[in-house]
Amino acid sequence: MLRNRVKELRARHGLSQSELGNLVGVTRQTIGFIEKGEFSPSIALSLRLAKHLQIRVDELFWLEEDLDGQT
Amino acid sequence: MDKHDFRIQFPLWNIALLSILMIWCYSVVYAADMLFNDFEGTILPNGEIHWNIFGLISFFVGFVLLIVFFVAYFLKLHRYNKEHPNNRLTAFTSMKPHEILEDDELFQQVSEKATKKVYIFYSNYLPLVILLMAFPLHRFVFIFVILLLLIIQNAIYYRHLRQYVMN
Repeated sequence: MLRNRVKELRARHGLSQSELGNLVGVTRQTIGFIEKGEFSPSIALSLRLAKHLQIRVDELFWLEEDLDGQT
Repeated sequence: MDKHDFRIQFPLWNIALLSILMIWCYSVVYAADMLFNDFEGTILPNGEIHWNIFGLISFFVGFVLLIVFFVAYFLKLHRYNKEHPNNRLTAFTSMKPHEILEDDELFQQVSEKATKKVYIFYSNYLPLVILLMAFPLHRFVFIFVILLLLIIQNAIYYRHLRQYVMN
């Protein structure tokens, strides 16, 4: 499963789901589903999200099993 | 986009229209039978006219419901186009149905998954319809069953869309 820090970083930037969606060109629902880990975005959308949230893609998204391997 | 969005509700509008057509098709098939059989059995030898009361009811009820449906549909469409001037919908389309949402990659995926469910439904049930057609039933029954398949198709599609929008 793909995990992410979109919700945390969006809150840190003071953006609503709709505002972040507008910035990266997707709907509010898409941001919501990404945050819940129920939708895996394309590489292009991941890059746009990382750019607007000012973070590297691999720090924004990671695989759950990678985290399990580290612990 | 929420569950009240016209494009999300489009399969429900399709279901309403198909349900009305189910009522109406009985009289249309009956009228076609009369026309192609030169009104045999309708105009009796003594000059009396034998009315099929169910056919008449089906025609008038279906006709009134169709008018009500199209008035409501065009009002809803007009309101939607007024609220979304950059994303206007046409009343009728022969290309891409309005219920196929491609606003972004989530909705593309949702539409693809819903379409997949519909494909599986047809793969399973069309052979049964073919089997049904082997029996000497009235043409009305075949049309009714095909309309029923279309209603179920729209219901499957709407159910899938709705669960994403509700979230």
